[in-house]
Amino acid sequence: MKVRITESLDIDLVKELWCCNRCGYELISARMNYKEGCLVRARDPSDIFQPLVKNQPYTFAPDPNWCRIVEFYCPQCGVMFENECLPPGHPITHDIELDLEKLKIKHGIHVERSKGGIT
Amino acid sequence: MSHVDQQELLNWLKPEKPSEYELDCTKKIGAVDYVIYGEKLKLILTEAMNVLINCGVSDTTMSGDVGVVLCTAEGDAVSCNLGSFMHLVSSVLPIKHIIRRLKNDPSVGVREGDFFFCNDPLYGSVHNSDQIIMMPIFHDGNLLAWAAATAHTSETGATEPGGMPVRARSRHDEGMHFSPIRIGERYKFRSDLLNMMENFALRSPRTFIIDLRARVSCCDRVRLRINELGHKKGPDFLIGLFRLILMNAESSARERIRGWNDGIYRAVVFTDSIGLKEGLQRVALTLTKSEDSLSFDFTGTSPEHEGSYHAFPHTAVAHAAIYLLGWPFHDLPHCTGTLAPCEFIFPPGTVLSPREEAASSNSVMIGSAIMSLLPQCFSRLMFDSPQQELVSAPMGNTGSGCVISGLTQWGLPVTDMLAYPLNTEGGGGRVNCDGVDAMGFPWCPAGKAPNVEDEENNYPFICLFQKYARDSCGHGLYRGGLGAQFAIMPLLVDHLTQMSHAMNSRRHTAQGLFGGYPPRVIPGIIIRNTNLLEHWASCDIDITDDIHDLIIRRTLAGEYCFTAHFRPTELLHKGDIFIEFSSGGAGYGDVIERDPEGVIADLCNGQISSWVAEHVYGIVFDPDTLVLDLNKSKSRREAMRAERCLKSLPYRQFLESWLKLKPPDEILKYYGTWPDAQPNRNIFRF
Ligand SMILES: [Zn+2]
Repeated sequence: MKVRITESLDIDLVKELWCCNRCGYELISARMNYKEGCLVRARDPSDIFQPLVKNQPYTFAPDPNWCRIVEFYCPQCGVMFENECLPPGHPITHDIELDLEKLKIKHGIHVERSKGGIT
Repeated sequence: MSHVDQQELLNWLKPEKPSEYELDCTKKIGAVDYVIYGEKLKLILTEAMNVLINCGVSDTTMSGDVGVVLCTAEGDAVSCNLGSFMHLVSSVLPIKHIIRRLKNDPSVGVREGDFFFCNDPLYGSVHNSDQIIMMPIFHDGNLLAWAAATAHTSETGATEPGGMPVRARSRHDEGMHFSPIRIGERYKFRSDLLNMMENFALRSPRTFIIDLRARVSCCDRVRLRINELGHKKGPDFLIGLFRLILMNAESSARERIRGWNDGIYRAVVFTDSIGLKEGLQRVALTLTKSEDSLSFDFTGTSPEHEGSYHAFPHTAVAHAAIYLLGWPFHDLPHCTGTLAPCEFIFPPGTVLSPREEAASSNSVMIGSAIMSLLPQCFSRLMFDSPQQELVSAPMGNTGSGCVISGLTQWGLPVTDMLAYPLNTEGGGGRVNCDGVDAMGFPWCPAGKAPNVEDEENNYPFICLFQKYARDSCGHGLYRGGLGAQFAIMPLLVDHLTQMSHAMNSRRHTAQGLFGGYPPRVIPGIIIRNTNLLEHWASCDIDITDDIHDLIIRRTLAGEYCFTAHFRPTELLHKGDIFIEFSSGGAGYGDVIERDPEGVIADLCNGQISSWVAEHVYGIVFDPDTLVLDLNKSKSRREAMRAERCLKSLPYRQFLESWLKLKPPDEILKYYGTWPDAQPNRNIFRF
């Protein structure tokens, strides 16, 4: 059973996996950061923001010393799940860390715990 | 120390415990009366806000950057009118200070006909331009309620005109700071105090005094109407109604929170200026949702610094309230009861919890980071919930404020912040639609941009154009709304000064959502010594009405100056063109999934450029007719997907090279230790 968690990410509650909502690709354990199951690329901001001025520090495009656009893709269909505009070298954010047991209960999946299962 | 410890001030935001008497009073309120008279309170505040906006004269007040709040006798906010939800928080705190520290002080006291003033952030104000009038409301000699009216009036007698000096190094550079003080008795101003206050605002005394009187008139209207209601329904009815609103608000908020997925949600944003200088700073949020409560932990935020882009903890909460009451709890009572399930953690020594002498006149600038963090975390929290339709990327959150100062064409001293750029920022792309173009002022979405004719009448400039700014939005499956472009030139005077305090020229604070991109950055632009007046004199009016074209084609002679967006006070001479942009909103979802026809429509409407349509959205079209080539567009997008996979790396491999990078040391001075932003310098303020 899959639950949609973001625009393009599902969690398979039975398999406990992050999945691509578009192509179904199984990324990684739902107990981990989904970004660890992605393909990742850091882009120069001027790929996305056209500099309107030449030879100036301020061009309408972010300065690559201050900001890179780190994109997280589905390895199978190439959809972009998320991006982060980070200073170069800044750690990646673990943005969603769900309480999987409670999520399963909410969606009617039985949870076995080490001491006494919930039925 | 007369002011209140920052943590204690935060505690004051929690509603007071109900007394037995109050609980008894709640039992007398029937369900129908609860709805009718709850609505009646809102109508009273709406009427009072109209008084404030219509009587005030500052550009920000007339645009609606105000707040009217009704509080219980103990100071808890039970209802408010937009304006800005920030002022719900900032009204409660100085009222509670008066109740706890001044009411029983025989040298002060609280009497019928009194009104108090406060603009000091150490006592609850957002920053010292946000000035508050508070008026106790009595019934048969007993304190029944409080009315509070807040409006942003720029001038405070700081080191630079306009109350938000970017060069401020400490609170001592910021001019007027009034702790809660009685400035009126028996419904009349004390003229001795009024004189002193006016002298703080000599750069714009008319604006200051008229706005001040407008706040008092506003509070008095609330008092009048609550008195009428008290006589009609009795004070016990109102006491019960107030308490019931607070209790219902908290239980409704808790019920809503319970419906969201338990977990931990994190986001980080980065700013590029501290006011004095450029510099990278980080603001981090860990939002923990458990059962029916929310914990907002800002650990990991960069240390305080020598500039003015600081917010005290209650100011940070005031910025959180903009989002909380505007989005996830928009349909719950707008009162402090709704915020009661929220706990806030601000480690001392950060930009969100600096020492008391820190300058905070630009608190709203660092506050913009909070306004960008909350939609990030809450959108992840609410996607799998009944509130999914509220999922949205952040608004522009730039606050492109520029202060002009000088003599008007009528010979009067004036200093004011121009409200057009503020009130035209783009909304964020949403889960099911684009953000609204020129949506409004993110701090106060109910505000409105002023009419250009009014601006030209009130201030000594001509407005060359104010209109949408092409490509200013964040792109995505649903793009952010566009921001605006705005150009003025001094007219009928020889010169003016301008000061700008907004950031986002090296990088944008707002981030996109679920693969959407952030809005583009904003340079500071002035075109000096143009000959536009001569062009006009020779009837050559076809220069351009778009700043992008002007920059690229240089159809107007002059010196094109590009700087950071924030700028200390500088002169504008006749012939100089000052340009300001408001920010577009952030984008939602993957650009490659945007409807190709929607891209073409944006292109045809001039909302995006052909460069963006091709390079960002991967659309192929006829450059002359702008007709879409759907098949080529599909192929182009397939190629883009393939290119993504080809040019990227698996996460672990990516990290190996990525984590070796580091920004240049010169931009990390104010960041703290790299990368975890812990304090690493002594701060000296002088
Ligand atoms: Zn996929």
